[in-house]
Amino acid sequence: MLIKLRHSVLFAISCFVIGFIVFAYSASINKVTDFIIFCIYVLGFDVLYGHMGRISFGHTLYLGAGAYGTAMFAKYVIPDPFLSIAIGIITGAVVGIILGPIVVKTKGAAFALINVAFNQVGYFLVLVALARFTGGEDGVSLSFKNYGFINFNNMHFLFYFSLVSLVVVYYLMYRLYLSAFGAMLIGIKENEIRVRFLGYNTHKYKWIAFIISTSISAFAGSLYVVNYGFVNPSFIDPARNVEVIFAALIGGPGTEIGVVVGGTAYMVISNYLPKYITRWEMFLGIALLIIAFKFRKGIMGYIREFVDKRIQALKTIG
Amino acid sequence: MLLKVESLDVQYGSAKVLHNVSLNVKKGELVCIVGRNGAGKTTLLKTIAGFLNPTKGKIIYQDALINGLRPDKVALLGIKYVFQDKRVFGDLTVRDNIQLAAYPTKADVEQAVERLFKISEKMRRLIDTKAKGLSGGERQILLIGRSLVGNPSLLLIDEPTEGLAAKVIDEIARILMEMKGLLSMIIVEQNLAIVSRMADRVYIMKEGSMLKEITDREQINEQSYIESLL
Repeated sequence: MLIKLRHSVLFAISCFVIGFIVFAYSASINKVTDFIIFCIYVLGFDVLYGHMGRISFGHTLYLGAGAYGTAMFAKYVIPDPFLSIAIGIITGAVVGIILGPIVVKTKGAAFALINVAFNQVGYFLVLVALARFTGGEDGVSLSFKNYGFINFNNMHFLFYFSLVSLVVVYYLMYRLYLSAFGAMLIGIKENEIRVRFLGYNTHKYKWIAFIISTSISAFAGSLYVVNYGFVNPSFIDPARNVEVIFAALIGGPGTEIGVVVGGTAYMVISNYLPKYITRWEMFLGIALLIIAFKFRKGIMGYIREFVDKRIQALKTIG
Repeated sequence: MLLKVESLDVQYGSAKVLHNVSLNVKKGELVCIVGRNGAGKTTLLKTIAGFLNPTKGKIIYQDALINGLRPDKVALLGIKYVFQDKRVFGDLTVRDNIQLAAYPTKADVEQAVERLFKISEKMRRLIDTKAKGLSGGERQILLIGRSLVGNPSLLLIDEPTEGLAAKVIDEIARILMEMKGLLSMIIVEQNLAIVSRMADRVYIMKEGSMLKEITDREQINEQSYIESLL
């Protein structure tokens, strides 16, 4: 029973779906919708960090690409929410296609910093260079079309739409990591040269992984815009990159459920802790120092280890 | 001739590590390269595998020049390299390690797994174990099994018995002997007893050059003779 649950994707999805629904109706549906979208963003980030072993310090660029792609399309072309979201995802993918060949050539500190560099360029573009279109610091407000019960101004619809999106992205990621492609990403993380000797053009596959990551992050950016009804440079602000890194670290990078747990935990801390502690960031920093030094596997990493030990013990007894 | 290496020079920066090295391997042949540390044996294997670019000379495989091809292209041509350090993909299971090798060659995973079991039956109970939990000998068996995925024509095996216990060395030697004749192998090996047992021909390398080729069976069997040349 324990073994079945340990490996059941259905169990994991059921847990977080029920958890989010209970949380939404007992706390704030708007906030929980935010949490869900943030989890999608962390899932996108974790393709590179948890699975390919590349940490990006500029991932907000891809979130922002999706947000601005969606917003610009809705404002200047047609305010259809589905088309706008699709354009947002495509924008993220295009950014990944263009930047990928340069970015994936690097690793370690260079990979982290090259992403920040591009993030700074993107931030400057929306804040100053393209301010005529993007509204600069003020951003732009948007109103999306409604189609009957498909009403993106309705917080309940938005909540369930985001939740279904998370389930879909989560399941797709689960399938991806089970495939040979997922095994290859882990292989690249462990030893890229050995993967090349097996016959893989690793540059090509890293590029594909990068595009998947930027597209998912852009999807989260699109959902934020649809949720808030506006976009401003805070969506692409390089200073916000720490959020996604912290979330992945808290939950446990490289595990889909860990990413969801970490994303939710980070959002709960950043939304509720300020009510009680003014300089909450300091406490978050201390907590992260402890995680970085003592609990690198994150919450889910340790839960999995505990469960695996129990399974092993039961097998031994059996 | 399956592989022909002609007058190969290789440099690390300005340091020349291989000088005018030539070697050939026939189909189904097991060739051993012997030499002291720093003789250039691993460099030669890495150059054939595409990891290093020769500054001079030719590498001809199945009548085609493969100088300067990337390692992934060389692997897809049917030349597989088994590294010396026995590092497997530790976070993947044994099955995933095989699956990873099967994907680029479009080989059937289940057939590849069965082939691994054929090499060593004990891998059957380890198939869903994470590879980081394997012993040194089990890792070497996995690496050899993984290199066979996609039916390569030539295996380059770097020091397969290094650091292993005597009993495990015997098992690795048995596996390699069973593979003999089915495909070609170039094995870098310091254990002369193993070399005498397995090799069809022996090349002696010294200070980056090919010192001698030994084809005579009696000379191959005479470990003291080979030792005297090193």
